[in-house]
Parts: sequence; C-alpha cells; structure tokens
Amino acid sequence: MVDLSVTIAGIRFKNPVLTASGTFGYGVEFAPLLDLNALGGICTKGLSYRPLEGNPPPRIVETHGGMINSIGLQNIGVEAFVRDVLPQLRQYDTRIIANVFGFNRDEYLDVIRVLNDADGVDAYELNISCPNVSSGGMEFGNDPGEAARLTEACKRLAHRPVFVKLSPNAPDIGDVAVAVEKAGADAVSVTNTILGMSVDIYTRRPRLATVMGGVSGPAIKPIALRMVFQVARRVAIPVIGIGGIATAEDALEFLIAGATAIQVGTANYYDPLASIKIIDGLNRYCKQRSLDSILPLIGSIELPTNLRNAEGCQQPDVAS
Amino acid sequence: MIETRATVVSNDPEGQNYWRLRLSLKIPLRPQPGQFAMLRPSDQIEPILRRAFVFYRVKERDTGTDCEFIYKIVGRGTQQLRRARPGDTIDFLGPLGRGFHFETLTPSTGEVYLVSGGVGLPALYMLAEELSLRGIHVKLFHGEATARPEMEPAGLSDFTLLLGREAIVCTTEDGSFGRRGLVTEPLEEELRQGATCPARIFACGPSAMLREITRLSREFRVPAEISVEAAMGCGFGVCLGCVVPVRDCTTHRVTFKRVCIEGPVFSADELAWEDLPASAS
Repeated sequence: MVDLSVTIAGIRFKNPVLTASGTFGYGVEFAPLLDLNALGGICTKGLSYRPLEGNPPPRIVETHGGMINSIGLQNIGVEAFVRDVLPQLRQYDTRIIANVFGFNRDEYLDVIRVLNDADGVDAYELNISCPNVSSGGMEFGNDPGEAARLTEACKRLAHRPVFVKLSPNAPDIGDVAVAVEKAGADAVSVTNTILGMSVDIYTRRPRLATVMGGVSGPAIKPIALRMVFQVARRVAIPVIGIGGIATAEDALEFLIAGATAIQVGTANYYDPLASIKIIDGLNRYCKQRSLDSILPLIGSIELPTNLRNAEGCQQPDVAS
Repeated sequence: MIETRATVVSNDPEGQNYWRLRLSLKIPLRPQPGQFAMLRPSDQIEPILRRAFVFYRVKERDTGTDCEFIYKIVGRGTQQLRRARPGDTIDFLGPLGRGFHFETLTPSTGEVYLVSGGVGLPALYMLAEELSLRGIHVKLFHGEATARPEMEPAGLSDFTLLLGREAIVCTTEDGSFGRRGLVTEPLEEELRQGATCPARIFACGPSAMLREITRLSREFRVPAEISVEAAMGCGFGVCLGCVVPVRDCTTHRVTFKRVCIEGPVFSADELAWEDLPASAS
C-alpha cells in the first residue's frame, strides 16, 4: 500500500490531488460522477462576500490544447455557501479549501470572517490572481507589496491556514511568492490562468465579451511547471502546482519540480474522472518503483551540474 | 447523468454537411425531448472539450440503449467526430439539461407548432414523436439557408413519415427547396390567418429566428419554448461558461442562467434578447 499523503501547513491530505477552484463548482456537483472521498481536497469556486453575476457571455472559447474563460467569478456568495453547500460538503472525507475573493481588502476580510464561524473548512486560498475582474484580484497579484499587505491582513484574521494563489501575469511571480511568504502565507498555489485572447476572423470581433480572458488547459502546462520550479526554489513554504494537469504523468512532473500537491482544473470539464485517474496513476507509479510514500518524489528533480546552484528565476545559459 | 463509453454503430453522411451518428450504450437511458449529451471520440486529444449534441432518437433495448444524433460539420469537434467508425468508442456524458415542457398538452388543448432552422431540426424530433403518441396534432415549419444541390434537409424524411407531408412547411432563403424566404414568414401568415391559435410553439435554430419567434409569440399570445445553443466547457453546470441573460418576469431583474442546467430550453419570455450577443443562438 502506497502512502500518498502529504502535509501542508499542518493539514494532512490523503493524497496530493486537489481540484482547482472554478473548475469543480462547489464540489457537490461532481458527487454523481465520482467518489469525492477519494480526493485529497476540493478548492471551492471563488467566494465573494456578496453573490456575483459575473461577466456577460460569450464567456468561453476553445483554443489549441485548452480554453480561454472570462466567467468573472460568478458565485452564490459566502453566506449562501456556508448555509446551503458546506453542510453537504462536510459529509465527505476530503479537505475543503475555500477560495476567497474580494474587490478590495475589506471584502476579502468579510469573506474570511464568515468562513471563520463555519465548520468544515480546512484552509483558505486567497485568489489574488483572477484576470477576469476589472478590480481586485489581479491588482493584488501583480504587485509584491500589495500581495504582502493583503496576505498579512488575512492571516491576522484567519482561524485557518492561508494559501495564496499567485498570478502568472505578475512581472516576476517569484518576487510575489517571496513577499507573501514573508507576510505569513502558509503555502502558495502556482498558478492561475494566463491572460489571453481570441479573435473571430469573419466578424473581426473578439470571441469573448470581455475581449481578454484566462487561458487554461494542457496548453499552459510547460509555463506553469516552469513557474512552480522557480517558486519552489525561492520559498520554504509548500507550493501547490496548477496549470494544465490532466494525467498522472503531468502531476508527477509538477511534484518532481517541487510541488507538494497539485490541483486539477480544466481537465475536470472534458474528463470528470481525471482527478481519480491521476490518483490511480500516482499509486501505480510508486508501486512500480517500490516507493511506499510519495514524499521522496517531491522536489526530487535532477538538474545538470552547472545549474544546480542557480537561482530559480535565472535564465539557463543556453545557446539558441 | 451518466458518464460512460458508447460504441459507434454507424456514422454516415446525411444530406449536405450533416451526419447521422448511431451509438450503442450498455445502460438504460431515458432522455427527455430536448435533452443533450456531451460527446467526444475516446481517442481524441485535440480539440479537448466535449461537444453538446441533442438526442435525435433513442431506443431502449434489453441490454442497453441505442441513441441517434444528427450533427452538422461546423468546426474541429465535429470534423473529428465525423471520422468515428463503427466499433470506435465515444466518451458519453448524459442525459443533460432540461428539455421541452409538454406534459400539460393534450389533444383537446389544441395544435402545436414546431419551428426549426438548419441544425435546429434534430432537436425537435423526439418531441414530435412524443406529441404524436399523445394524439396531439403537430405542424412543422422548417427553414434552411439553401438546400443546393436540391435535397431534403437531414432528418426531414423522418418527420414526413411521422407527421405526414401536409403537416410540414419548408423554406429556403434562396428558394432551392420548398418555399423561398424565412421560415418565420409562413409561420406568421399561419398565426395571422389561422382560425385557431396553436397551444404552443416549440423552436430551435439560429438566434435571429428565435428572436422573431419571441416577437410573434408575444404578438399572438402563444406561449413559446425555445432551445438555445451556447459554447459549453463541461455541460453539467460547473464551468459557468454557457450562461444566457434572463429576465425575471416580476422584478424585471436580469440575471444569468446556465444553458446546460437551467436550459437548453427556455421560455421565450424569459430570455433577455437585448442583452444577448447577436452571434449567440
């Protein structure tokens, strides 16, 4: 029997496979399709203090190896989540990470205040990186100082560990990671969607109502993996890898590059059982290699000798 | 909602740009008219998202279910589906969504009009079957942009067998098949001249047609239900990508509803067309 469990901020996850916020609803929607008890954890849809209607349609467009979305954080609001959804989620033996969002610092704190009083949430994940809202998220995520101030305020109030979901659109994601670590973050989630767009050549109009949106899916995996590698070399807190993970092989790449856990996102749409298949695949991989735990794999990447001491964010000196 | 693998029985061209896909499932399935399934060939990697297809015909067997879909080649997903051969497997998720509401209709409540445009036609076949079984008189108005080379639109022969030729009015914009013009023109004439109003209109097709049907439904005070199409990421309510604006009839407040969960069939009165992009249908 392979022990797939990992620990982040004192929380034991039965395996390192979590479902990413915004791609798994509130979790209960998937109950008819898979055994939620098998998951390491569920990151809820981003919760704001008040319900949000989100952006106008069209909101999604498919692209090669992925999709672009501009949902705009449509959600039922934290109070409805606590009242209507959380009691259902509590029935399952899996970790619940509430993804928290606000348009300003006080709104983040308002959401945390409501969640603090509720049972059944294991940690908070601050969404400081959504590219699909005109204010809030991205402004915090792109600036290390802003991200640190928000993290510090949330940490002071939070009764549970605080993870911070970083933006790939920041000038240097490593700088933001270091800043939020210093501000007390218990872990960082790397990374959110990457800003992109798509144009209809027949109408010459943008395909999304908001013109730009967040690119996700296998297309962004190499970029997200690079960011996880870089961030893991600059911070001591655990890194949770996100970005185009659809198979056990993808998950293993992230774990070896330095992630302590991973989140499955867009794959949930086209293969609702993707996360279960990934857990099975991790088990098989460990068994084949006679590993009784997944832990030795985390950050086990073998680098070329001349790059072993390199800082994560430095460009390798390669001819091109 | 069941997630399974279906086996392709046949996948053949039908008319111009249309294909008829027959799938065999090893489980019992009873979709309602207007419901859909998310399909993708099992060995397909690109494009990654499944595509939504409305059930055309469904037959339960002792050992499972046979499902038929009629689809049009419009992009990468349907190009890929076209290559599926008998014996191949298809990733299947369904039945999904809310179909048409016809339970209160009886022969005494009056005639029912079905209105379709282009690939909207297959969405109405199961409904036509159900209404006919209940002894309700059904009239079909179907429109296409063109039918060159002159041939019947895919699935029309099934409707003819079911309803009889006299119950079907066809139009093409270029006059290549049936009457020249838009399908809403003979519909409006019928509503204007008809001795009795139909009990209900059920429609599926392009947004311009659906908007016009909404107008006619208001003018002639005939309740209309329309099946709308939207790009979907998941098909079961979690991605929130397929929303359409709807207006609450008492508060007049506009909110978003998911086509995959609260739809694809909506009351025509409910949809806030003025807030919908022109390309949505």
